[in-house]
Amino acid sequence: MEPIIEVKDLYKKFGQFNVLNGMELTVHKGDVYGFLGPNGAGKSTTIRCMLSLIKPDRGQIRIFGKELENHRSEILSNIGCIIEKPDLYNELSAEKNLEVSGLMYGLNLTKKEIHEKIDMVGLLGAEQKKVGTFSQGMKQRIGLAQSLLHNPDLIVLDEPATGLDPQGIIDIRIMIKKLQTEFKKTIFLSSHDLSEIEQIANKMVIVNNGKALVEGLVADLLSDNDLRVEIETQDVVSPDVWSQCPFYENRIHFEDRLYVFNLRKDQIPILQNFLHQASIAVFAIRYKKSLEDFS
Amino acid sequence: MYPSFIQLLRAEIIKIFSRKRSFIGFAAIAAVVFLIQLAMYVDGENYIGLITQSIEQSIKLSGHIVTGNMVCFIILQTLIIQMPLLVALVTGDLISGEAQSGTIRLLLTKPVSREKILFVKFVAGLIYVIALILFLGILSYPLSLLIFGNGDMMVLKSDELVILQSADTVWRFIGAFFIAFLSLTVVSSLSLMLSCFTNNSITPIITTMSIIILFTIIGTLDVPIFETLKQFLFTTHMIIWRNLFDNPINISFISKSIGVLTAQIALFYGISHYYFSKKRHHWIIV
Repeated sequence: MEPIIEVKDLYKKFGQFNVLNGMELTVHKGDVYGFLGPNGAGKSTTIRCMLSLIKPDRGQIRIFGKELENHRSEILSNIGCIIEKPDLYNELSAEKNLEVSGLMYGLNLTKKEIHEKIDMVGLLGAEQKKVGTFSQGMKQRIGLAQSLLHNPDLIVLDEPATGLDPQGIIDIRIMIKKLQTEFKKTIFLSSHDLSEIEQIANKMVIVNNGKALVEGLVADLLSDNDLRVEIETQDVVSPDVWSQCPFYENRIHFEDRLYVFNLRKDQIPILQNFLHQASIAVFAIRYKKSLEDFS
Repeated sequence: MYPSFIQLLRAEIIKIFSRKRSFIGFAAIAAVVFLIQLAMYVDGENYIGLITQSIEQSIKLSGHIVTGNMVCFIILQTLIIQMPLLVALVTGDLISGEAQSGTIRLLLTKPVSREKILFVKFVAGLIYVIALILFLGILSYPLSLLIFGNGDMMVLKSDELVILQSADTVWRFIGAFFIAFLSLTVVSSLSLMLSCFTNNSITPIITTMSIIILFTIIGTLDVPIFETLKQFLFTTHMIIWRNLFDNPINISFISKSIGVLTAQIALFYGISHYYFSKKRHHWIIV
């Protein structure tokens, strides 16, 4: 698969604060690429650099195989984006918003074409309503329609679930999936929520402190072979008892009444069996992957 | 696909005229023009009588004095000073308004250069100014001629009385509207420039209005220290249209003012261009 986005050794400093510290990532055609990291990790700055909203201090950005610096307009004409929140003119109707946005891409859209786009995001009937009266979810849908007007190959979504209710999040997730499967778009999806990325993306990079920590297939990175299993007990369990545990070597953290192991999913029932046989009173067993696991 | 200049301009015009604020200027102009026309229709002869009281001791004025030409002149005299405030209301947030609402990102992620975005906004501001001037022109000139009839025009200045033949007034009014357009374009480019400096939509509007008020006050103060300064204030040159109703006209005086106004437009636009392009290096994306 050909690379669509290649970011290499990207640096950006604001005042004394290094926001990007050698950010690197590669997105291939057809990927739903999760760009995951905690708030302040440098996700938005990377996206802003990729969309030429701000200029990096150093580094290289190639999109569609071309240098962003030298082919800005050509590249942007093939990208649709929503950054943080959909940028809409509240005083204009949904229809006029799309008309204006189309004009900015050099498109003289007919009403029929605009209505088709509105229909695609499930808002037919609301085309004449002012966007200012829309809920956040409706705005997000119109924003998505707006980003698809010019039929771009690459769609960049920065925290698209922000401010949405649970149903809104599900709707956006379905739409993103649809964009990849039906319309064969490459999607660059930024989020701080691992579960969101896990459900949508096929590839991801985890970033923190302005650089990529780990990049790969979601299935590999979040596989059941590498789980953080937390056991909360009623009483403190002595090390002698734990030393009998078949996974004692996999322990990560023992403290007070919280014991953490690094296990495969299929090892959990064996651990439960040991806890039962050792008569350890357990409050809870939790297993998860968390962003911190990668930091 | 790349947008043409016309497509970008169309998008800007749709945005400008979608805001209620953009129509305040038209409503204010219509209200002032109709009020002056009503007042002149009802009590025009008495009003003119009061003004000409002092000169009537030496000259006898007779015939049709309150003509459409004269009413139009009075309207311009009243409104041209106020119109910059109406222009700033719209052009003052062309950039900052979009920065405040976040829609500037929508613009800057399109396949258009920042320079072109700024130029389109500047031209959209000009179109708004032209629309205001045309609206004022139609209401104040043809309509006044229709209501008050055509006739020679009496222009009373502080130190002289000028009588212009009706046929000699049309081109003077066209010139006056052109200078008004130039003056309002200075205000439009000033507020556009201020709009590039901030992400708050109200600040450039208030600042532009404050500058106009300040400059106007300085212009009215007959203090020697301000005399040199006055030559550079656009408000000084905004009222130069009145000199088009002199007889003979001081061409070099008017040309100089047109030159100053044009230079100020270029200066304000140049600063906007530099600053708007440079902001790409900043955290604030505008």
